[in-house]
Amino acid sequence: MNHATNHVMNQATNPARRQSICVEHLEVAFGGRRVLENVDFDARATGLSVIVGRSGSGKTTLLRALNRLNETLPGCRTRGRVRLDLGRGLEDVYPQSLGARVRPLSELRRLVGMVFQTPSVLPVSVAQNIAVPLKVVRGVPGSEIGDRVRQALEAVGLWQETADRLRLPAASLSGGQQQRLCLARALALEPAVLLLDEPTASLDVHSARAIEDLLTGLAERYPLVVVSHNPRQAAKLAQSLAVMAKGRMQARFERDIPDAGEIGRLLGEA
Amino acid sequence: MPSSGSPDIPDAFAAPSPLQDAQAPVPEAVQESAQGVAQDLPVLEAPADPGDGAGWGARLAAALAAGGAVLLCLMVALAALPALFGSGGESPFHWNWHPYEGQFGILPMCAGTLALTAFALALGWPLALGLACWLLCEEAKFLAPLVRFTAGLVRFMTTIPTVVYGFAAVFLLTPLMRGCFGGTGLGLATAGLVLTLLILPSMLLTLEAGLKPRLEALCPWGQALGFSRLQLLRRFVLPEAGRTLVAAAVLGFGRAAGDTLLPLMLAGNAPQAPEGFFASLRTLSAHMAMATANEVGGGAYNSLFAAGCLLLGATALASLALRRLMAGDTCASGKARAVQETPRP
Amino acid sequence: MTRAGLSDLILRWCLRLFAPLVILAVGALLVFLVRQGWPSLSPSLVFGSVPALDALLGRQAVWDGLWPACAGTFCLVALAAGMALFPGIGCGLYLAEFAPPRRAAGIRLAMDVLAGTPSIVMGLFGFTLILFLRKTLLPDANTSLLLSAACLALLVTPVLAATTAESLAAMPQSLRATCQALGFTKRQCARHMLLPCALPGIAGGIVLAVARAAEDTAVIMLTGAVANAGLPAGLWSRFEALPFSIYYTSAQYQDQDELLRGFGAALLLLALSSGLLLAAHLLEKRFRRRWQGEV
Repeated sequence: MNHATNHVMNQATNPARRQSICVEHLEVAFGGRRVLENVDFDARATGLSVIVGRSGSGKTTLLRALNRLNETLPGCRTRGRVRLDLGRGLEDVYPQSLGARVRPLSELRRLVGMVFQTPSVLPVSVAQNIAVPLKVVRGVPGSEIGDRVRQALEAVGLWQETADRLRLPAASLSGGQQQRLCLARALALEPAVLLLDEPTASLDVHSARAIEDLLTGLAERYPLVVVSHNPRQAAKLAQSLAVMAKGRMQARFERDIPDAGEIGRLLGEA
Repeated sequence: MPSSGSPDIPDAFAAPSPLQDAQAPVPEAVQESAQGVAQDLPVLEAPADPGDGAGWGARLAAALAAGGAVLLCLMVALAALPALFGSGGESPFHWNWHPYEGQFGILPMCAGTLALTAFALALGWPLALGLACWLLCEEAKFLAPLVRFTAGLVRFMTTIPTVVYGFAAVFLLTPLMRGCFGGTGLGLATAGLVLTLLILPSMLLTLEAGLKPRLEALCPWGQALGFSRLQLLRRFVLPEAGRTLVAAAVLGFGRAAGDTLLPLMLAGNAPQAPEGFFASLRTLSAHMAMATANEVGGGAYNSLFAAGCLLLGATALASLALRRLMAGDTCASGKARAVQETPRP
Repeated sequence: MTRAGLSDLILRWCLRLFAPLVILAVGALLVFLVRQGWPSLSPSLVFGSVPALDALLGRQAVWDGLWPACAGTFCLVALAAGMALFPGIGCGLYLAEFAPPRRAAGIRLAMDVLAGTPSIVMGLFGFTLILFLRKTLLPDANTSLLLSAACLALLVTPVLAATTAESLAAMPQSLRATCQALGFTKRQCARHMLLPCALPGIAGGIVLAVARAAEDTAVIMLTGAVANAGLPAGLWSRFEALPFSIYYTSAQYQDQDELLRGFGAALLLLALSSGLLLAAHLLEKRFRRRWQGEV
């Protein structure tokens, strides 16, 4: 799994060991209430990192700090350092000093794909769900869009199922299909990092398994960060595991991922 | 819980230290100063993205709309300035309207507006409140179709143009009033009755919107206690809903004071202070319509602008009061917001 | 029965009396209107003795029908809606998405005052504007179709702004979050997602504004509507309009024919405005169903 990466990379480093996400001393507060405290986290250029924790442990906030989505919520204050590899090696996501230049928010969020807990399809047709962001955010010319939509849908195995339904509202798809559509939409924007916030929490067992298989495949090409509260899923997917509790990083495992029972026990203790 | 420093990792995990492998390329200097550093780091502010501000189109549109409102107030106020602050004889604030003798007092019209508005409110507000309560509380099965019909009718009433009300009333109500009470049939009561119908639906809809969420919030368990909907409404909702009740009245006042066509067509328009229910009177709004139609000039214009300014001031105050009342009505507005944000089951 | 129970029973029956009262009053007015106006409802009500096609193409002037008034109202409403569309929708968009809180409060205040302004005061504003222009820039400015349309546009702008802002506010927060996560800027999100999705709601507002403009009498009374102008000759000329001709008929009718035509016109205007409001209602209902779950 450590030989195929298809994005630009530093030649000097071994892709498997090269870092793609590096979070140091991250602290996030909402209206004075601290949600994350001194969190360190990192992930390699490929592979699937799972963050587990009970609800309220701050795992989603950590995820949202990576693409600065926390800042859309009122009263958010962020301290610390977050660096991502968005194609030019590790770079700061937040300005570290006054006037330091960082990527514009919209570019950052385009390069950091995100999939939410509940399928967040846009209220347009299946094809438009992928086409509109491509056109608006990436400025892809109209002639290419059809192909790109198809590629994106094929990448998540949705083309077969929806080829004849591209013009129907995306909301008419099943929950699992919608979630895969969201994944396809994120992939179409050619992200450097993929974040998934409990991507299977609202799905039935079969749809969840399809998504899990898809993620394992994608992990060979992208750095994936998956938030989960399900020990079984964490044990099954994780190539590295982080356990969070009460806004702190409780434990990290890079190899010898514990089994589901062990993770469950960790969560229980935390 | 300590606010900084390394997290307390349980012993079981601290021993093999699974962290070490992961921390590969972090510079040592940073690792050294890890303890307590978080406090000293700067708070990270979002840089302003030019794409997050409003485009020039939206700005221009907002400026146009707000500018129009300001221009309106400015023009009307400026035009009324000489009249409002004119010296003694020219002041329009006296009781005599004799254009041919150069007397242009608008106080009779002010009194007319007040009288007509008070009449319509005195009739319309209780009617609206009663109807709203009935629509919300009627539990009898055999009356359900009537409730639905009435609710539909009230919404339909909002669509009836003022001039149509006026036209129908001129040929139906006026002869009736003339037959019953003598005189011309045009007057305070005639105009007031139709004006009541005109302002009824907006008051009723305001009341319904304000009362319904509170009542529905009480209903399932309140009824389980053995209260009827009417009892719940009367004993628990109405005493707390003062703001809604006042808001409906203020809304009705704004509508009634500003309406032109009904007084113009039905009130008789004699420039005299209101003398009784069946006597002719002239309101500020009708006065404005008539004065410009006749194009008298000079002092008549002055009185016209003074009337306009008064009317604008009164309705603007009503609008402001209305916003205050609605904004303070946290229950209703909070409910409205909740309805907007979460899908209904 | 307890005393409290008895008083509730009495109150209940008193309340039941209110509805028939209102139904009777409104019903009487409507039935009267329909009975009087129904016989006159025919093509000749609108076109008089002129063949419909000739009148529509302007080949022959209509003197004994409502055609000039209908055409005048149509031009007036189209002009007013055209002029109000940009400031109204743009202002609603700015309010809902972009305005910093203090400025939003200021604009809301202006919109409130504008929405509460009686239409006769709006007419007076137009009238004052003409007086002012006559004294300064344009000595021969006069009340006209354009002036009426501008005043009506100002009158309906708050309606449009309010419905636009409301429709945008009704968009689920998750839609915005999704757009931001995809890298849309706020402006792109508003332009490509929020506005298109809120369109049915905004369309409801437009229809509402049109209905309001079509029925208003007081504004055009002071700004250029007259009883006998024929078809609207241009932006700078005076014009006839349906609501004004109804008012005029009620005051100045000469014979039974004119009176019947007045009833016909009133019925026509009632049908027009209730049709428009029904359309607005349906649009809004569809919009709510779309965005607030299956009702």
